[in-house]
Amino acid sequence: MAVATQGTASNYLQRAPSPSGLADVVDLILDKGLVIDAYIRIAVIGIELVTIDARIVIASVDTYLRFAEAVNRLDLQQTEKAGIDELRGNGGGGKDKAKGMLEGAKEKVGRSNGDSRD
Amino acid sequence: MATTVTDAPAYVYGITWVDVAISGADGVADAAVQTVEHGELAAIVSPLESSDIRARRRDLLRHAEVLQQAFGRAAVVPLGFGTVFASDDDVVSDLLEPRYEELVELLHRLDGLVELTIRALYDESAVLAEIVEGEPRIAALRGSSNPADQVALGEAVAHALADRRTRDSDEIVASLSSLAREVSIEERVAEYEVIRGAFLVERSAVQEFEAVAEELARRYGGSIRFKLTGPLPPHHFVSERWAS
Repeated sequence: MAVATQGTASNYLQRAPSPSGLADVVDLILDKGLVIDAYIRIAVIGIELVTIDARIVIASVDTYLRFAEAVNRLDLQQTEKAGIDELRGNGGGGKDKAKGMLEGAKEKVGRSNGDSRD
Repeated sequence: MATTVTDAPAYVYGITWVDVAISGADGVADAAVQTVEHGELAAIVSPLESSDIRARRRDLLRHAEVLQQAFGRAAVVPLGFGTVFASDDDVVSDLLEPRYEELVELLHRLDGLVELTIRALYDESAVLAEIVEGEPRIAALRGSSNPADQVALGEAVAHALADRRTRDSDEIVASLSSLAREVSIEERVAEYEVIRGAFLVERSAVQEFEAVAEELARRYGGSIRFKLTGPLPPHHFVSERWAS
């Protein structure tokens, strides 16, 4: 079971005494550990390997557009840092534009997902 | 300790010292875990009634749990998932006997050592906000409706993130490595992953290691989230292949 560290200023370190899910376990026991050529080796079939989903897409225009979209939809007001007012000041019109683009991008993603499933 | 010898194929979890009492736990395919012993060594096994087994999610979890349980009591050489010998006798004649010296040496080497794994992930909005604030060019391109600007923006962000990742992962590894006997860094699999790695540390240094991880987590103040798992059996540090 995973628990947040107690008694510190940090909520950013999660502590787990043992592997807390299938993905963790797969990381530890599928290609790790001593492997001995034995009588038989049980094949792992029918278990969706969660980690595969997260494979990195090689740098491409698609990746760049994904980063651009993520940056456009940032709400810098939430980040409590200096200098933001300046950014917001000259971005009054840009915000609406960004929103429009974001919706466009979402539609695009939705469609291409549909295509790939067909 | 009593050892029940069965004729069924034997699923092997790992190797430990003979005096480590492990029995009765539920193992792969719900079979009871027991040991097969030879000299100072004990193989942690459970009978497999059918050799036509398909590994289920639960079996993978059980493999890890059984090793974790044994590891709570003594050093363990963890085997990868799926190793099966024809019988308990074969575990002795094909593994414990021919590899006796190597296994004893390996257990001695691992004695008192534990594996701690770290996974560090950027918080997407926190790290992107820092990148936007740190680079005027990126801030200026943000929100532009020109498609070419959008590609340039994304490319600049991708490069800034890659540079940051190199810097941050070097710093994290350097901080944690000072307490480790061995380090194993994995290939990155997720876009916002900073680092994923395993550290072999002395059991007595676990608290100190945790303190260093906490200090790192504080220093990155939410732009990086850390997950520290362990103490675990040393899965990452016995990854060899042996022909039997």
